[in-house]
Amino acid sequence: MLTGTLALLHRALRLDARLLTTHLFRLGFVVLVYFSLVHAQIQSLGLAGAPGLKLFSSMMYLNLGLIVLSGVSFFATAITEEKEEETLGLLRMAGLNPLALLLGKSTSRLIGTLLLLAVQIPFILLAVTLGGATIVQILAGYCTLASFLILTANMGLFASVACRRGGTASAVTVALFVLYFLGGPLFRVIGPALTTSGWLRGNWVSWFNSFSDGVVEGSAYTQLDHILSTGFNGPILGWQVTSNLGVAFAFFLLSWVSFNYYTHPKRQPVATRDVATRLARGLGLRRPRPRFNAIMWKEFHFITGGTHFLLIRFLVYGALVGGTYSLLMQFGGAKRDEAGQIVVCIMLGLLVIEACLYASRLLHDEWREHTLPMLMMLPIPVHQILAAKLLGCIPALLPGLAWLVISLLLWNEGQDHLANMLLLPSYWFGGLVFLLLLTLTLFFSLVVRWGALPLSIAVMLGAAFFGSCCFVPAYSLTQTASDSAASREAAFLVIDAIVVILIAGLQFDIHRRLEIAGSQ
Amino acid sequence: MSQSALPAAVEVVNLSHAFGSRWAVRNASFRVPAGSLHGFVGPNGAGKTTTLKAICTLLQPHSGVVRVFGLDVVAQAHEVRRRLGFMPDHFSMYRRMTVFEYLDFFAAAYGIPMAQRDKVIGDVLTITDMDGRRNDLVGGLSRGMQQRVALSRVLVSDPELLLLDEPASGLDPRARIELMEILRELQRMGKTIFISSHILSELAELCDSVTIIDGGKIKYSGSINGLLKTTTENQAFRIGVGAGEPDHSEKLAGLPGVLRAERVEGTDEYRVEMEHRHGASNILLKAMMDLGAIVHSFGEDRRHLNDAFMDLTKGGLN
Repeated sequence: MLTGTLALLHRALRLDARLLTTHLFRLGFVVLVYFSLVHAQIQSLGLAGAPGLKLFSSMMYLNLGLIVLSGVSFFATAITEEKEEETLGLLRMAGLNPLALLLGKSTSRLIGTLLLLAVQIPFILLAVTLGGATIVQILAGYCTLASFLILTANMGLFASVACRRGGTASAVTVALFVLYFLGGPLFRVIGPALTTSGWLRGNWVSWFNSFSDGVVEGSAYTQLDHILSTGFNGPILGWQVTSNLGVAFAFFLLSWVSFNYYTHPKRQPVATRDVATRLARGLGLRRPRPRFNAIMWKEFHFITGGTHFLLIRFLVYGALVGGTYSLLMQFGGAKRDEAGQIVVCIMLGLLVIEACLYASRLLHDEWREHTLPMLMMLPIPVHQILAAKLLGCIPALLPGLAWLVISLLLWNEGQDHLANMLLLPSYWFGGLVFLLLLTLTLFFSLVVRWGALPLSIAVMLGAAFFGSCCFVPAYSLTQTASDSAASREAAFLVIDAIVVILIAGLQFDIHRRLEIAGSQ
Repeated sequence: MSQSALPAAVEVVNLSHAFGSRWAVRNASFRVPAGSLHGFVGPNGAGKTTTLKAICTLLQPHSGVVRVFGLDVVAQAHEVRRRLGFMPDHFSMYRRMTVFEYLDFFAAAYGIPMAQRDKVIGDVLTITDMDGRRNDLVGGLSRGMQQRVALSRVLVSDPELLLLDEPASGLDPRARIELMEILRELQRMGKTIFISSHILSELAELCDSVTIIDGGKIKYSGSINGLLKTTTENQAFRIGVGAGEPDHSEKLAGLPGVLRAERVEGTDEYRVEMEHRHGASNILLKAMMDLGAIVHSFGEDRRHLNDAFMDLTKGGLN
């Protein structure tokens, strides 16, 4: 019985071990350690000391970020990809029970990712030689990351079992991460408020406070904060490790127990109209017909949700801006400028997320639904198809942009930043990097089956890391030679040009890949 | 008018394409007469889809020339795309659109003015008998219905040439028969239809001409009648006689040019195999009369397309 259950896991591990790409990926992590080392060494040339601790801490936070990204993409799609490909039934028919499927589809991925962490340890021990970090800190750090990875994998697995589509599973995993990282601090804020208002009394107060502390201390971020502080003397396997492993085990059990319920054929994806469309139809509103550009019409209505969702987003963003601003002013004790700045940050973040989500779906949906050949068969050049697809998504960003501009008006410095954005190359850099992220997402959506967005974020993080190792020293040299704003802007102009070239190159390759994908 | 005298809708000359080191199509040449219903047959992996994709401009061949109505598919891809409609072998549809929205999108993408679109879509839906489902979501339709929607999509731009890759695969017998009826109707409307299929019996009934491909090479291209004749050296006839007639098979076997003559077991019919010669049927009929037989029926014993296909493709998959 056990042989049957482990068959898929065994096969996945064997396949993983034979693939060259897996080993190259692991080698990539060693290269990452190397650049981290260079980065720490460069930083130690200045006033900051303890290059070992710098190396170790940069690797810890980089790993933490990559684990979160892997949870949203790699682990959250373990079972949904089978559901979407309608192959889950075939696997069940082959005699694979839920446990075998969970082990084969998710645990194999977990083992592969754990090996990515393990491969770093011998190299990261150099941090001890460089000074500033101890072996206990390194072991505690990697135990923290490993337990967080196991929790991430099983959280993603549960979302993947419970949701019908990969996108929904990723969104559920993001929500679980928000709860994991922000739940503790939130409980700490709510606790006193609940006590003062009389909702919590007697023993419940101490119980709630202990629970809040437990959630805060169970977070990998908090634990890494402790580990990376000078003179860390805590246990290697502390509360964070045991609690994360316990919750991970609970998620795995939950996935196993609920597997049959969630994967029942009656619960598989069916074609339905989205909520806004159903609501609009109920009100007698119809989707307008394509007029000038059919592709733009399609993207606007079927990728971004069309006019109905545009209106909903405008109202939701408005409520968010107005609500947050009023709350911060009335209850948070913030000044007008501070509240305005926070609202700008929120809107900017939402706008970036929205644009990234459209970019990840724009070509991938066509690829997944095998509709690219039909699109490529239209008597329209490929670059025009691509441009129309992008232009179709832009109106959807208007509500976010409108509220961002309004938020900027609430922030005094915001207007200066807005003016600088148009004039200074150092401000263009942020926008260009954002464009590069979108282009990279488009590119990866034609290359990988799932997780183009997290992959592009990971690549951008890696590139930023590499950039800080290579370009920052060069930039510092130019600053030393001529310490003026003009030279700073000139340096940014060069960097901007490099980013533009990268974007153009990626666009060219996207064009080529689209033609190839259309013929497949 | 003979097939070769008709203007060509598709002309493929020395087409070659390789995937890596494996040649999918090698020096393939054939032509599809305009207004014909042309079958494209071959075992799995024979190079059918590669050839189809080269014709419909989705694939740039490594060598050779493909012309559609005289237009080069590489140099004049956009003009070619306006004149043809391609239906791939897999369902590729925007599942969240309604049938009408789906067709409206493609009509708009082909530049059909909004004022004309309602009529065009209405006509197409009538032809494919989908008028009653125009407000249904594409993703909620059955496979047969989706196939009709895919065909409607191809027709919406009113192409002169239809390229259909396995259009009947996965359809139930009724849907299959109805699809064949639609294709016949489209041919009557003057369309050239190039249909790739594995269902040989249906192709034999439906098509005027056929191209057989195997291992990336063209084994035959021409009329169905020509195929049935060229794949065998001999000619066979079936002669039906009155009940209780004496057995004439020995006498028939002795006639000049007759290779074999036998009475078909359990029937009042003879099957006579002869060498190809001019007026063979007259010789045979006259001989039967001379023997005093009462002939009820007389006709060529045509071989089935399956037999010809098996002969040409060496009886199996590559």
